[in-house]
Amino acid sequence: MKNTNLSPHELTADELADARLFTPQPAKGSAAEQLSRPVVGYWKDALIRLSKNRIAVFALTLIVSVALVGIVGPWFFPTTSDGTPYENSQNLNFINQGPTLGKPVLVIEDAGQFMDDKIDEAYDFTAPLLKATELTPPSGFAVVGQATVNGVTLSWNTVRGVSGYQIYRTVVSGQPISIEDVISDAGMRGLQVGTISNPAQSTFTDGSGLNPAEQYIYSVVAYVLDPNTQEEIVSERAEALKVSLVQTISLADAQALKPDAQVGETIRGHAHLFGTDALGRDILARMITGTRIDFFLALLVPTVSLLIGLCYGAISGLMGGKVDMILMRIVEILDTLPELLLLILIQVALGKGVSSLVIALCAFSWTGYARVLRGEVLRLREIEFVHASRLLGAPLMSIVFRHVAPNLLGVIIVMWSAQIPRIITSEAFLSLFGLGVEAPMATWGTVLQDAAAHFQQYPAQFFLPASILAATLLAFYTLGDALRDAFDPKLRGRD
Amino acid sequence: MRLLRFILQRLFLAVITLLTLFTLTFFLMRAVPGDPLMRTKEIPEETRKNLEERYGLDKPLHKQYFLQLERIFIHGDFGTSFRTVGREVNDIIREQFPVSAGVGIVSVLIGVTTGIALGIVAALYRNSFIDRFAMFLCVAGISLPSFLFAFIFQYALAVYPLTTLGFNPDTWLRPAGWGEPRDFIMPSITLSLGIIASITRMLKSQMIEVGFSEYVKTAKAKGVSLARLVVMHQIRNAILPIISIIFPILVFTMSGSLIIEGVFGIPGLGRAYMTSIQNSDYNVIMGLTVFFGGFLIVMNLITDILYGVIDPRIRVG
Repeated sequence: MKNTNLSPHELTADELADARLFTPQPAKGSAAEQLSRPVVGYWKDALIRLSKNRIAVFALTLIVSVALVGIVGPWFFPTTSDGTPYENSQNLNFINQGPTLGKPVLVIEDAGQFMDDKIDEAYDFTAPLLKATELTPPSGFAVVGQATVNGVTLSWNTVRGVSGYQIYRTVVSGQPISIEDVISDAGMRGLQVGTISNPAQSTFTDGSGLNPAEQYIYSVVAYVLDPNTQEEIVSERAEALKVSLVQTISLADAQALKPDAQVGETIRGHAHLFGTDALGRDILARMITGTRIDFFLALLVPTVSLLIGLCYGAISGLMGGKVDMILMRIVEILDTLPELLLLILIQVALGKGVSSLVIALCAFSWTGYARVLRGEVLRLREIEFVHASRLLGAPLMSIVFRHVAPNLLGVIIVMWSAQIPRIITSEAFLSLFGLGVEAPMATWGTVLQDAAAHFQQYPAQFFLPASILAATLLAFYTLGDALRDAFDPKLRGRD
Repeated sequence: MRLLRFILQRLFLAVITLLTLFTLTFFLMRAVPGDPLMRTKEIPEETRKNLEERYGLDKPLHKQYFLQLERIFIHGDFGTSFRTVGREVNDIIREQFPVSAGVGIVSVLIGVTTGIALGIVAALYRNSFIDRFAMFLCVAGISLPSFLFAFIFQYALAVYPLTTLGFNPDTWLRPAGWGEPRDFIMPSITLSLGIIASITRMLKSQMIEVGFSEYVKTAKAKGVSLARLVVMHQIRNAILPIISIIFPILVFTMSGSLIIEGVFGIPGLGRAYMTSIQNSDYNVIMGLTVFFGGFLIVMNLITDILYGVIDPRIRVG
């Protein structure tokens, strides 16, 4: 460089010819400009923040495990002898059981086959009828064989000179009744389960409405018919005995549990960790299968309402003017409608079932997305970097996918995840109203509905499934909160 | 003038909403397979004709629509039950709505007072035991459905003490029943939980936000005493937005009561609604929906107007 005069002047021909003047300035990166740590994008940043939130990680783990059990669990259900899915298979010998790891059960040929009543062939019908004061209860009152939930067979020695016998049954649990009470006090004998009008008959089988969880006191009295009034005069005292029931299992079901099971053998029955319901169905199995429908709804409904809301909001925001005003007024009106009532009405109109649940739940839940996404579209349409890329001539699609969509995604994920627990709650709510899915199908709501019917007697049937529901709802809720914090750090620490 | 315009605008919107609700209900009920008389017991042809004529069921759909519209909104007559002979929907509302409203008012009173107290204390003593307890209550009250609490309270407060602890059933809380003051306790507590949760949460965050504002700083700098600062400056401003959530709270309470009345055996509107659904009593379902929905819409209108009067900024938007 010959000319060192740097004051502003017209370039001379010499200078113009000097190519060195036009070499680019070497970059002089100062220390402050150096990147001290790797560049972290919006998504990675959100992910890091989320993974640092320990409660959120725990909630996510819980949700994932519930979902996994729901997906995988039903593959491991025991097979049933009649081929119905395990969660729907009823076992009336196992109704209303508390949580159990497997109770001892007696293998029997087939439920519901009772022995014929035994008749005393040598009975003397010619003996004169006894007077009321002479009446004694039959002796030798005993249980024949095993007393099972299918039936209790009782036998006694016949009494001469009576018209027949009466059998009573009373429940022991919850009230202080002793055998002596039943023997001496006619008022304590409870339900009359049988009247035997043949005095030669010496056995009776009681097989109706037996609850395996209860203990019973059976009692027998003899009676004579007053020839004039046809009134039954019973002996003052009774013979009584206490009976605990043995649970039974049919041979076919037993062999599914233990291949070499024999009739008469006692084996360990099915484990019912949550107990069984009023139809003897395994509650845990119903909860696990129910997870499938509940999670299906919880994922599908927010997605469908998101899509509707996104289209609606985008049209409203992009068209602007009158269209925008009318569309938003419609949303405003729909928002003011009592959502729950209409949910119920739609379900009444469409009938029970999964598909009508989807329609009912989607029908009004998209308005929130529409409102928020319209606002976002309006904001993003006018934002500087969108203007800038438009000025630079970026194609519309690239603006939408590179600039608008990533900025919408955060809002969308937050709203979407917040809707999930609400859908699960709505399903349970509708089921408690009797408006969920069709009968044998299991969802969390129907399990609760079944348990609510006799809640005061068997609270565990309600509280065990309800605790799963509550834990899942809390997990979804905290995860939703954490996602909101992660995607919008400004909101962190607020409420 | 602007306020008047605002009120008229809201009023117009409320009327449209009410009409939408009626229309949706009408057509949804007509979409149910079969006609409303189908499930009543065998009735003679003539009776059936009379009934159809009386309720206009023999007329074309659009005529039925306007007839019913006129009957409900001009004459205030919601019709008769198709299941229980001679039972007017108006009577059901007249008898059962006060019961629901009573429970609702008691729960809102409990909920709002407790919620405000808890919210203030939680904001003033952050990270204290009360704050943590309040936040736990908030998360549970907001994320868990109210029927869960209903069953928990029913067991813990009534069933367990009566059956296991041997409390006197004549004086202690009944699991289900209606007619005595003690029967208010469990449903009101259950319903107030959700209210407490939302009010505490909102008030706490408002209090904290107001605490950072310039005028509170100024007041502190002036040397205003803490009590005066909290009562005169913080609470006054923090409590304003609570009005805006009164409507959601009412909806919450009312819709929660639908199931809770069933659980506690309260003969309110919610239980009437539940029964009518189980019996497919379409006239009652329709009447109760329009009444109940109309009630909520009117409440919303009142909240809107009230808020517009208090806070002028709302009117512009």
